[in-house]
Amino acid sequence: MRVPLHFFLLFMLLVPAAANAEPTSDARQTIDATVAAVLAVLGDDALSYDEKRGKIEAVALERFDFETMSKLVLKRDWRKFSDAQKAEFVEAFRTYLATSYGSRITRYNQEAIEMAGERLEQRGDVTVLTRIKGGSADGVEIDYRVRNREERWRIIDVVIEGISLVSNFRSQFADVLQQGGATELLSRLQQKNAEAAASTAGDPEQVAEPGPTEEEPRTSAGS
Amino acid sequence: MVVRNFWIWGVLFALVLALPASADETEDPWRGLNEGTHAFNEGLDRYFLEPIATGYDFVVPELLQDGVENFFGNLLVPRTVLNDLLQGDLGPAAKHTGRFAVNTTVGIAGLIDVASRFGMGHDPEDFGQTLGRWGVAPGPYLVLPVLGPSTVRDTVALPLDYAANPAFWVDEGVITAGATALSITNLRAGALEEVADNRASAINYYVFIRDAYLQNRAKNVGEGAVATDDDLYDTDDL
Repeated sequence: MRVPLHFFLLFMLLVPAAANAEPTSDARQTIDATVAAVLAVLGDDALSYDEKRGKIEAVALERFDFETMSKLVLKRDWRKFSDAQKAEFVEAFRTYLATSYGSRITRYNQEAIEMAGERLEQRGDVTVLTRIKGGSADGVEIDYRVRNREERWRIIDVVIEGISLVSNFRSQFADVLQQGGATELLSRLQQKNAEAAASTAGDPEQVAEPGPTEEEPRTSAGS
Repeated sequence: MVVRNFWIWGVLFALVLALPASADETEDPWRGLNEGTHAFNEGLDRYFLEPIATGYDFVVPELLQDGVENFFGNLLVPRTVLNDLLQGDLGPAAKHTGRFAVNTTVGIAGLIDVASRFGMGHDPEDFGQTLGRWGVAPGPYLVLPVLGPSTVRDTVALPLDYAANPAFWVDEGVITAGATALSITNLRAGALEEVADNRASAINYYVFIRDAYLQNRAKNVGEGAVATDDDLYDTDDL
């Protein structure tokens, strides 16, 4: 296989909001400051694993526009959801992303992030291009699509080495929706969230889960 | 090794030709078969490769694993140079040639990646990408037994990828087999947590893998990344 899948996990390097002025520079500042914030958390050895996760999840919750992302991943099916289901979905999807990816990013703490430019998109969106420098993921490109809504620039998609989060989830969800509709998708998401909550209740238990070898790989950000 | 690879190629090629393309226009018309192969590969990994790689990861120090990764990674560089040239990318071809020269000598047969520290990183290129650059469409998604995600185009190009690896020309069955086993085990050991995480969190693991593969390939071939597909970001009528 040409590109190891672990590139895909690198994604949640997040964003703070900024206001008005020129769109590209605002969007860029947003990504810039967030990346710096996330790297600061990852590099802070005084924080425990759970604390780091908590802090990064908090940043994610604030800097991602989960409502827009929910619409994008559901696309036409969004209209088939009742208002209650919509609200439930946004909440469940938010939790899902925060837990499933918040836990992974704590593995990456040796890399620096380089700003590689930005691109104006349709609908006033801006894509901010970044690249990882150093470590096992050297050279990996991560693009953030940022949209200005409700006076805030927030992330609506993360594209790692060409793999779009929104596009990937849309495919996965479309499949489930076709088979079992909104109820099935919501119950699967809730189930994943419950599993994640159970397995991350306390660091040591989680480490023990995959096998006897996983003694301390979490701190060894290398491959 | 040579004979065996040709044999595999022959089977795959026959398979590709024999498969009926279904009427729908999706990128995965052979999904039924692909899901079967995917399930087989998953079983193979869970009950064979993953346990071995887990033991290997436990026993072999990180530094040594890096060395093994560098060594086998270095052997892929000639393939990259060839494909840089075939795609007319002279700059990268020169950079990768320099990288191979430096790492093979100063880096002790590729064990140490010295070149990356001097700005000579590796952006792998293969024959599937070259075909893509030349305008060959990827064709349907195809999950290969043991080897995993591919497309018809990438599958057809695979024998050339193997042949471009210097290790392929080592005419000593035991060494080649051993080296292949080591390289695969080492690769798998480097992705234990990631794969476990992906399996645990994916809502539909088959679709997750398929889309990730196809999108990543599209980007590497430069066919226009999905991210520029504007319809993807349209919320106007929602």
